[in-house]
Amino acid sequence: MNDAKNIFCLLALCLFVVGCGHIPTSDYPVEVKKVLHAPFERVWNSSIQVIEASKATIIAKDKPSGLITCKFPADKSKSPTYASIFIKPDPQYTGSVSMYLIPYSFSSYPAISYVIYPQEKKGVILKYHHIYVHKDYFSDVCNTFYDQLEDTL
Amino acid sequence: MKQISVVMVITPFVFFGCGPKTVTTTTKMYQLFNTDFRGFAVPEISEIKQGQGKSFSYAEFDEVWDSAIIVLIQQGILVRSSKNSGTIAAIGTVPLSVVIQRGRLVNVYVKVMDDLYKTLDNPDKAVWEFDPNQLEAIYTDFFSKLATQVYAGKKWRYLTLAPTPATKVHAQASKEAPIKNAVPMSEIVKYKPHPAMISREASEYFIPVWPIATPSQTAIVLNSNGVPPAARTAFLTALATLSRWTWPGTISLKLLAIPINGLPISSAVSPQA
Repeated sequence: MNDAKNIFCLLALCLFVVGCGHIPTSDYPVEVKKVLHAPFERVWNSSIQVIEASKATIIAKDKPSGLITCKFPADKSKSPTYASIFIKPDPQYTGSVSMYLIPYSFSSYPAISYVIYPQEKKGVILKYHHIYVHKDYFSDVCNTFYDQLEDTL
Repeated sequence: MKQISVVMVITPFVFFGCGPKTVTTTTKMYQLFNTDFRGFAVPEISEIKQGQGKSFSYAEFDEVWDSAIIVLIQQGILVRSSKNSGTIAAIGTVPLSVVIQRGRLVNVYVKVMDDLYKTLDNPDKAVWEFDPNQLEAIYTDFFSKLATQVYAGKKWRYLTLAPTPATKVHAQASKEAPIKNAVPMSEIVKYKPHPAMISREASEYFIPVWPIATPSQTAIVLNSNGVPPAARTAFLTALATLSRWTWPGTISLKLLAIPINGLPISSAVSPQA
């Protein structure tokens, strides 16, 4: 009787574990590199167009490097998103480019730290900045940008 | 009752009137974000050379340049870049300035732009100062990644976080994701040792130890291209769907590693999305 009870408990435990377990899946597709089948010049010009159409601010661009850094205005995140875009001719496919795009979210922390300057007898509330990859906005920005870019191309 | 009211009214004046005066200030770096980096200039090349330099043999300038961008773009935003002058400025986990020089050997120098941690109200004081060990760790990490990208790269798969002064999380992440096929640092000609940059007056500041308050704390970047072997997938990736929000400074980096379930994957080097 005890054996049967033990087996039943073990079975119940197994069912519980298996039932509650799940195979990890990701809702965060990691794709920071994309191959575009278009020449560098076209991709560069289209990228600039997309950025300007998005009302983003271009912080830096260097065509010989293939690098554009821009700031997308605050939207859902209530904080701006910075993105560096790197376009380089793909060595494997003639007439194609590899594009790397990584958007960073920005946040700041006013009044989060209290620094004491003992000699001056005053406290200073510092404003820190912080940039990080936000997995939701990462996908949003990447997908939106790539969609618009492909439309423009 | 009246006495208690009087005490309650007077007490704040005693605390705030006689206590230390409080002002709100910010750092140069914070101000740059507010002004979209207008007016920001990459430090002079001679100043960048005061950091650390290494020579890369058997590599073209373009290879090293592109590799440097690929490495830096994953550590923060590249706010300045000029291929003609060979300079890059990246603001991220640590603000770095880089100069890459053409020649028989491609020389690369990197320096932490520590002056960006200075406060606006008192430019002589910085909210963060790096000690020589921290600088050494930052430079070693950068050159290690750059060497990997230049010599064994061609793939987007080695990236981890750069070490940040105050976080052990980053160091742990680096240990768990070792660089594959990395060229040993001994094979790279060491160009010049970094100068001993001694932290001054650091003891007079209260630098908070909790992660959220450290300046320029974390640039959480991807440490996976989605193709790690199943055995090396961190168990915390299972939490990816549960933890919807990345909370700066406190999130486990493994949340950003892509969980896989052992299904076959494409062997293409440059998969198309």
